This record gives sequence, C-alpha cells and structure tokens, in this order.
Amino acid sequence: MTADRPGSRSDVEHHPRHALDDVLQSPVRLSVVAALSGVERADFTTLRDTIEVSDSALSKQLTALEDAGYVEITKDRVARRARTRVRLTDAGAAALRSHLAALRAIAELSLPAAAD
Amino acid sequence: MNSADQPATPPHVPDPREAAEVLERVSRLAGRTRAQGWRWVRLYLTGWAVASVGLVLAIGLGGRVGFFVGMGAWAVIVAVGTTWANRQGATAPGTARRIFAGAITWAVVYGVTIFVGTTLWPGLVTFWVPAALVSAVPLLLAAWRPVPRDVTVPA
Repeated sequence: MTADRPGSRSDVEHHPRHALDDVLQSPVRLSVVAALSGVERADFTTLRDTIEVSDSALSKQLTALEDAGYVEITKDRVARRARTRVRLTDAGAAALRSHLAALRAIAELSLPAAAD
Repeated sequence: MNSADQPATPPHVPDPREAAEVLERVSRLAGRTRAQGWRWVRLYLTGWAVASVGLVLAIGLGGRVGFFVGMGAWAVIVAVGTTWANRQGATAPGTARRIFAGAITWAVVYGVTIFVGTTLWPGLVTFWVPAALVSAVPLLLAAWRPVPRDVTVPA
C-alpha cells in the first residue's frame, strides 16, 4: 500500500497540522481563548494583564475572535466606569479543544524518538 | 488586524517542541485566570464568615448597643463587600451558585441561632461563642470546598 508510506499523500493529509484552527494560529488570540477557558468571563483589564499585551493589540484580537464567534463581548458599568467583559462561547471552547488536540498530536510526534 | 497575526503566507506550523511549549503556555494562562477567579471568591466568603462571627457575638452578648453596633457594621461590610466583589475581573465557573449556596445556608443557620439564642439564652457566653463559630461554617465550606476540574484545558 503505497498510500501508507511515510511522506505519501495520505500521510501528509493526516498530519495533525491540518486540524489546527486558523483563527487560533495567532499567539495572542490563542492566549485570549486560553485565559478565558479557565473562567466564566473576564474583563478587559484582567485579560490584558494576564496576556501582557497592549490595549490596542488586545482590542483588535478580541474583535477578530468575536467575528469568528469564539467570544462574546458585553459592556456594563461599575461605579460609573465602563467595563468590557468577555466570555468564551461554546464554539470558541470547541475550537480550543480541537486546536489543543492537534497541538498534542504534533507534540507527540517526537515521542518515539525520545523513547529511544 | 495585527500584521504579525495575519501573515500573507500560510500560518507557521509548530514543530513538536514548539507545540509542547504552546500547550504549556495555554495551560499556564488558563490556570492563572482560573486561580484569580477562585481567589477572590474564597476571600469574599471567608471575610463574610469572619464578619458573621462578630455579628452573632455582638447581638448575643452586646445587648441593645451590641445589636445596633453589630447591624450597623454589618451593613457597611455588606456594602463594601458587594462593591468589591462586583469589581473583580475574573469570574470562575460556578461562582454565583457557590455564593448563593453559602448565603442561603448561612441565612438559615444565622436565623435559627439568633432566634434560639435570644429566646432561651440571651447573654450566655457558652451558647453564643460556639453559635457564632457555627454560623461561619456554611460560608467557610462554600469558600474552601474543592473547585471543579477544568475540562477544556486540564492542568
């Protein structure tokens, strides 16, 4: 079965990189989704400080994630100050799970060599 | 969109070592916000438990003055605590349910304690000190009960 040989077309198509999520290929977007995965919701300041990015960079990536349907953004007021709160949607959580599974599969590609 | 995040060429495919590093970073970030979310809930409920001990002691042993001082201090503590809780930046999963369960259980224990104590043993130290400590138990249990496991990004 030539299709199963290393480097064959079948092998290339089954490489776990094909399961990586395009939206989450961005380090900042992946960091945002990762930070949100541990909580019900987080505010803009918490995300910015946790991920250690500028306000403008975070704002841009949040818009991209919202456009992809991965996060839900709401605004409210606390003590007369505006607050932006962000929540990971079900679609975002599913995308993160799938992306992490692909990353794990890629990471495990080195295990046989390491076991030797 | 950040140009560094939207390259014209296909996205970089991580090698196994890079993938492992990304996984470690994802786990660390998820854990950091999660810990932040739980930390303030634990502090909030523990503070409430300590205040409850003071309130029950003030009502039980302080007479009329103790009642008014205790209730006044309680009102201030509740107002400050609620404002502080609303300002927290990260909300852990199940926070509202945990606080609600602690509050309801505390209200029942507190109500029974105050009713029984003021009816049968007003000013009796051997009742009010243990009763004050018992009133804190529901809140401490709610605060320090183990947190649920993260299923999306396990540590």
